[in-house]
Amino acid sequence: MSATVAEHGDHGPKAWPDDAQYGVATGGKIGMWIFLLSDGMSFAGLLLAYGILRGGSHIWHHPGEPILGINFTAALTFLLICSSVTMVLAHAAAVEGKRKEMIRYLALTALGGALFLCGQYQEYFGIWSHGLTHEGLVFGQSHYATTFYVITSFHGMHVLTGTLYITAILVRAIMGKYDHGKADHIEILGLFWHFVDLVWILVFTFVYLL
Amino acid sequence: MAQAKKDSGQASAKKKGDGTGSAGKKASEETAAEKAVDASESGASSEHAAKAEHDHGAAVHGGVAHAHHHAPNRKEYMYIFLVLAVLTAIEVGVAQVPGLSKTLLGIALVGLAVAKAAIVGLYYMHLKHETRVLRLSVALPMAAPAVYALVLIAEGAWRLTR
Repeated sequence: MSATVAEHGDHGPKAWPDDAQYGVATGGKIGMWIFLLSDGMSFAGLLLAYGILRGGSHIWHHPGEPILGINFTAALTFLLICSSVTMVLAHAAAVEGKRKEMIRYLALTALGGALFLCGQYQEYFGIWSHGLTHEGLVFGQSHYATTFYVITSFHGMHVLTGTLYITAILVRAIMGKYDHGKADHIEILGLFWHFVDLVWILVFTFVYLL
Repeated sequence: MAQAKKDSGQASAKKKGDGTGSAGKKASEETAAEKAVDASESGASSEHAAKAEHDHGAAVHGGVAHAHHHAPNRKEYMYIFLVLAVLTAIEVGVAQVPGLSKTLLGIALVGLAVAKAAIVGLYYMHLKHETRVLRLSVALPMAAPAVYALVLIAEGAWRLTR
């Protein structure tokens, strides 16, 4: 009996009575949303500080400092959007109980995250060409440089965390933990990953395009 | 008062359920049926079957406003992907239009970014299928920094006029 309960422990939340306000949203999902709200406030604080510094400065972009490349970063933005699609498709496959497809899409999502990190490394330090650090964008030298590094690296840490999170869930998926439509954990992972994409959409606009 | 609130919450959940009802219900029934089959195939005890039955009962009872029980719509996901890609291309294009006033550029780019963020939240983060209360729990706190930004911009504009 106890073994049965343990084996089917993951089913627990589904058997809860529906909450009058939050419907069938599981505790895990509500917990992730609360975390994302607090995380969103952190990003909001950084972006507001950026706006205040930029709005109050006479010269934002000092001569000698490189201009941020829009096209390369637009490609990175597109990469994150692609990885968001593979994430929702992984969740769809999990709901439908298609294990192989779920694993394939999770792996592709993790790959997207890893490629984004490589792209950011190229942008900062350079792999096949000079990075911003070599081109005169020095942390601490101007508000332009400092806000750029603080905001994009804070986001980069989220991509790193997300990629590790996806990899951990991927390993569990390979172990068969999310078979037969047990998609809750995939959906919660998706919330985090889409949030990272959503924040990048805003960062790309405020830091690169404007 | 509290009771009334609760009732309206349930009512809206039911209303939502009606929209996605048939598809969601079917999916949940299939899942439960699969579980039952699994249980009997693995020669499990009646407890397995009972558990599956229980899940089935809970899923059906829930008015089927279940976010994770509503069938994922792959076509919609791909359509949203297309929209996001096109909006990104428009953003990059708009940013490089010569001679566009800074104010106009700012309004266009921020509008596009907020639209993209909302689309990701609604469709990919499934907020569209969540209850009204959960949607508001997310939207209202995140509106606060946006309002704060507007206040700061207004203050900056006012200072310029002095």
